Amino acid sequence: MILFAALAGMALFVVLCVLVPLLRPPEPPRPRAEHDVEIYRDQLAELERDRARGLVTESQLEASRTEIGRRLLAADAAAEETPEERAAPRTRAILAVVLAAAVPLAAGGLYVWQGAPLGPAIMEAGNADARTAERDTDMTTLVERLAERMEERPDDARGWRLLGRSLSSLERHSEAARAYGRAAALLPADADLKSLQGEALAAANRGTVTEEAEHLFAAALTIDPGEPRARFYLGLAALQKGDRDGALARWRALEAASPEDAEWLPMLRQRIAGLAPETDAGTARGPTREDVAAAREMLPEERARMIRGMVEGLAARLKEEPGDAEGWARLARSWRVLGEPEKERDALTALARLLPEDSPERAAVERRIETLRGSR
Amino acid sequence: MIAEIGHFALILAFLLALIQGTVPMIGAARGDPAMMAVAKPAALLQLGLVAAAFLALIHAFTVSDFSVALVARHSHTLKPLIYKITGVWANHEGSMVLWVLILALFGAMIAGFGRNLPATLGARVLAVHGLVATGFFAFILFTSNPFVRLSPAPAEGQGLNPLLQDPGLALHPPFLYLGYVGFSISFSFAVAALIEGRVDPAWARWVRPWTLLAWCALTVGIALGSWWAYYELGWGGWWFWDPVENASFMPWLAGTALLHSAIVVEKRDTLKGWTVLLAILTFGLSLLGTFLVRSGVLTSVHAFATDPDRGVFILGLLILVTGGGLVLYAVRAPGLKGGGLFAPVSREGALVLNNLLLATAAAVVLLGTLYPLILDALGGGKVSVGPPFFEATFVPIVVPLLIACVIGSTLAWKRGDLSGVWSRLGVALVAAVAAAAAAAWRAGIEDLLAALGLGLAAWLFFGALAELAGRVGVGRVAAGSVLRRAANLPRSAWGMTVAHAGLGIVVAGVTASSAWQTERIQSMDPGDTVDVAGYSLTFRGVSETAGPNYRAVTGRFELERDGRLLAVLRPEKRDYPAERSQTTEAAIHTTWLADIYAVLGERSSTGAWTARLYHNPLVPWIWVGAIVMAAGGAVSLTDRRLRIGAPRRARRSPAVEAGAPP
Repeated sequence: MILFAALAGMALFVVLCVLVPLLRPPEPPRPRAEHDVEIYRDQLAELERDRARGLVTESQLEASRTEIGRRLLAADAAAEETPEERAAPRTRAILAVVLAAAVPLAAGGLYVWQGAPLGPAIMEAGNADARTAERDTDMTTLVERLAERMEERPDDARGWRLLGRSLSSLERHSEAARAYGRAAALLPADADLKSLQGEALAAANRGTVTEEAEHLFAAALTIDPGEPRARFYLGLAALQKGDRDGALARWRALEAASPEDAEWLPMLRQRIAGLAPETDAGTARGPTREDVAAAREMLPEERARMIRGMVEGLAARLKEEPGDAEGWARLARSWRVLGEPEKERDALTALARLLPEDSPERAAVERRIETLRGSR
Repeated sequence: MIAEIGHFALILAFLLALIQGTVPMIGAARGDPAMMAVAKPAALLQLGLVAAAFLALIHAFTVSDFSVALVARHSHTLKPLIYKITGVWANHEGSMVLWVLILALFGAMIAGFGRNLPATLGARVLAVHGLVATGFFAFILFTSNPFVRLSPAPAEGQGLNPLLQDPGLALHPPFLYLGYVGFSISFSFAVAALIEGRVDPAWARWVRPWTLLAWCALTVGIALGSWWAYYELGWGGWWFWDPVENASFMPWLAGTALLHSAIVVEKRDTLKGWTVLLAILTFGLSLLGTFLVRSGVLTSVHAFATDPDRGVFILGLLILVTGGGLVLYAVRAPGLKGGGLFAPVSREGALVLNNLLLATAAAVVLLGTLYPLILDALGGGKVSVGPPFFEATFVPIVVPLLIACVIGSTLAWKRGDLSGVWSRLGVALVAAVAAAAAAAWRAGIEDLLAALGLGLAAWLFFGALAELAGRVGVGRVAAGSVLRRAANLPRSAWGMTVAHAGLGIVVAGVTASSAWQTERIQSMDPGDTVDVAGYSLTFRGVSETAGPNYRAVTGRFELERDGRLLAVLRPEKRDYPAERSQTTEAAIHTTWLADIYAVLGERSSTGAWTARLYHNPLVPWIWVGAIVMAAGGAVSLTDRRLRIGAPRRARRSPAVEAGAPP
């Protein structure tokens, strides 16, 4: 209700501002020629000042004075024949009525068409800043309190583990790694803790499995050869060193050893699928081992260029065989990694056409396209 | 609710602009003072409404109201407050609101300060201005509405392009828009004059301050944009002849020409048709720039709105505004009578030459910008017109312009003489030759072009000073009267001197930084040292830091010269997780004679880092010079003759104002 009152008030104010001059005519304006005369007089005065400063010679002064004088006379003559103004109160009144009716109607119509007048509910939901900040502070204070308590009871392995997990969820990875390290020191035979510490270290290094992390995973496997987290990360470490086959072998073994309902399986299978085509299909679908080995020797710029070249090769192949949904999906992923949102969007658009209507996959792809369109 | 009020304010502003564009126009044609009087309150209220809409948008961004789709797409709760606010215009819809805000500001300024305008001209200027505004409001409301709501509102926004999270962004677009939109005033004046059927010295006097204001703002805006490109894109360059840069440069060239030709109209009552045409074309080029940037025909950091619908709308607006202006011009221009005659060698003649060369330069840039697009549209394949084209075509046009600029400014109106040039400008010529010789001696004779460029810069700078010295009589009269003369000199004369000297500074910076840049790109391990143009840079490794919404790797380079530590450079690579992108932050140490510029590249598998290190001589002078030029414009803007009063019943005699005896 307040909203509508405010909007109506605004419209009324606008109408009033337009109607006042229409209904209460101002003084008749000065004739045009008077303005001209004023300017020419000012020019003469300026000329006089220039002469006073010695900026113009006498002959220039005379010539300019004659020229301006001529214009001045012409303007004075024009002032005599200024046309009468035509007052037409009737027309004004009609115009005033039309405007007074048309402005609120048009504004209201446009607003109902485009605005969200009935949307106060969604508006209340708006203030997200406060909510996120609140949640984060809550979480942060809890973690700080827990950390303080752990300083008092440094022998509580379960407490250290909880602290590590909380810090991880706040993305404070290096602190999380330290907390897991404290827990692992108390329980040296716990493979899981070693893996968690390694994972936090890798996360702190933006996903790079450092040597220290690799040692931790290896130690975890000596305690428990089946520990899945360590097996996964050792595969990743192999991949990061360029050992694609080694990574694939480790991940395939992990896949085979995992129970069918393991939560990591979908992610793992996707990773394997990302590596597999090259070894399965073989034909120009991705970089060969030699390519990867060559890439390791290259400068970063060259490497980026090579990768780009391979992706562009894929794009060219897909132009020839546009029916390959998997190929489009891989191309979109590649462009995403290379930071090319527009090309990613194009690939996704091609992919969406191949997917069945109403399928969840298609919906997901279309959501991503929307996001890409919006984020530019 | 605040967003809804903003939306409604925008709708009302649209309707008000429509009224402002029609009622006063009819009023002026019928000679009805009441209908003409509608223009002023409409223009003032329009500013209020657009400001309300803009504030509503700022409010939505600062409280992160993600139920507004625009905020959800372009903001993020973790973003620092300043970038939440600048994020308002770092996207298509918001920047269009900023655009109309500035448009409304100029309209309100004409309404407020325009009391001295003749009634019919004032009404028509505001009406044309209202029509232009109507087009833009329609564009916003129907194709790029910033107040579209999302339901349900997302919990988090998608962030802002990290490249745009920069203090430069807070200032660059507003200044640029002040320039672009300011030229809409010149356009409104030109079209109003054509409708009125008269272009006289008085008209030129009214149009000049608005053009000057727009020109100053555009100069600052372009300088800020190039400065931003210099330190944010991390390539050590400051101008890339990118189509979007050209889009702002073309109106600048045309606006500079307009600025000069308006002087001729005012002083000599001639070149009227040409000046009106320039005013129309300048605004046309501003709109063309908007079209190129917003239609999606170009991809660049500015292309945050590539939507075919919007492109078509802007193209329609461009054709309507420029085409309409030109048609009106074709009908009315033959009736514009030329005034005073002048000899080829005269101030007028020099200004004609200036206009000719500036217009040609603008045409060349236009050709280079549009040619690839036209070729592509005709199916001719993709070509890229880059710096080599512009260097080969633009420079040969600008060099004579710069040489003539100094000579022209010393010529007398109507009939000048070239024989006195040596006595007036001999000092400047000596300085130019000396500068060129010194440059050739230092950099080697093979860099002759660069040496000549520096000579040209000295010619401009000292030429401007010599012109001033000649005017106030240095060497001819006693020191005391020189000072008095200098103090009495019109501000516009001072403005010209300052602006031309600033141009000289820019030319020096451009020449030196393009000709003598030193670049080192190499892989460095901690402890490695690289020599760049006599400086040595030692890499001391990297450290990781966290910003409010990014993580950064900061390198540490110790900059030394002759064993003395000058500075520690800390270039950064930033990783923005929310936006999934990275930026480089160059570290720059400036001595004002040169910049040492360091960028941290990628990390190699062996742990070494790629570093790009540059020595850019005189590069700060480009921006210093641009600011000096804008300052010259501002000085000129304070000239008393631009504050011409309204007619008074009892006028003072001009002789009373005639000032001190010689």
